[in-house]
Amino acid sequence: MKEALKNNGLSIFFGLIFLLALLGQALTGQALFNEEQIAAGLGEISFAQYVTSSSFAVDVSENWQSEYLQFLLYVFATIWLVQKGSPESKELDKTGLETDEDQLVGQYSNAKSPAWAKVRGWRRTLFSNSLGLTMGLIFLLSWFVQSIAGNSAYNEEQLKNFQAPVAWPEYLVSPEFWNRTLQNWQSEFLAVGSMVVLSIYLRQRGSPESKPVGSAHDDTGTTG
Amino acid sequence: MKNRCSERPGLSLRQLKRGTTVAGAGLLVLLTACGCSPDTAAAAGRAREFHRLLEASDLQGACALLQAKAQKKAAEQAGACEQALEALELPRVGAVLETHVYGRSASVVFESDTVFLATAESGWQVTGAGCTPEGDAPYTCEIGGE
Repeated sequence: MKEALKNNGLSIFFGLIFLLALLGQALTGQALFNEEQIAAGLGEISFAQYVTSSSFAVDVSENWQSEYLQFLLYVFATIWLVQKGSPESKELDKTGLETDEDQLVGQYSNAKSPAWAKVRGWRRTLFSNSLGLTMGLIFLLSWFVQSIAGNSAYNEEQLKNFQAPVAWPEYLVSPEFWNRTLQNWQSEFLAVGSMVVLSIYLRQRGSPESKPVGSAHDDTGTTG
Repeated sequence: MKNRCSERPGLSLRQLKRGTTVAGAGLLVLLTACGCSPDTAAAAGRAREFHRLLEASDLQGACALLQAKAQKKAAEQAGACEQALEALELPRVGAVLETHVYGRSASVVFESDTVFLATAESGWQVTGAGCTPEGDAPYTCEIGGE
């Protein structure tokens, strides 16, 4: 048990703080929603009603889609693009999909390689792209949920303000949908870009996200 | 307010790879959540009831269906809610053409009127009636409204 906790500390830590943050978002979101309801002379809603509302769903999904887009782009961009000196980049001469030998697939696989890395054909192709595909799928699903829930939340607000609701296709080209989307995207792109560049010159001792403290600034693809 | 990203890419990549199943399940919950259980029949029924009471000159009954803010506004207009409704010159509204329900708000479009409603513990309450569209601006309502 103790060993399992130690070996999975990172997953458990992030899983827990995710749940706590989601709970905090739900509680504060309900309070904010009710403040607005009272201001409009309308009734307050319960916690259960809030967490099943389109308002909560759009606030959650718009953040999720941008996070998964961030990692989707990062997974694919780092195949082809490199950054000299960054531990987030691979070595400068390794751009592209690399050789089977580098990737330990087929005849170069070892005893511990996953089964689909050893075989040829669609299974190896699928497994070779499974991380990016999964990120992409979650991104698209989250974005779709954002559009549906966002449309519903937007229309609720429209009706509350005595305005006509809009249909989903109209919502997809609305400033509301794209503003919610782009305000998340810009911050994700900034965060990833900052990490790539700052990690060239700055260090965090002991972290695999950083180069070893004594590494040269132009060392690329090394982690500490 | 909308977004905070503090995780570092390499670290979170490993986390997210493991967490994809959990995230997928969460998305399903969200998909279910955003359905918002539209109660269109009840909203349309309440709007019809409001107009039926008006036509029957049951002004007290019609006032009771107004949401508190709309009641107060009507009373301010004419001294009492009933008097405001009595002064209304709404034509026969005809059949319901469309009902929109999103979360806790609704609109019911009749042939010659649009009624706005909001949910309360007692069910749907009228927040605006005798409403006419003003382009992209809010509807102008004879009772309630902005």
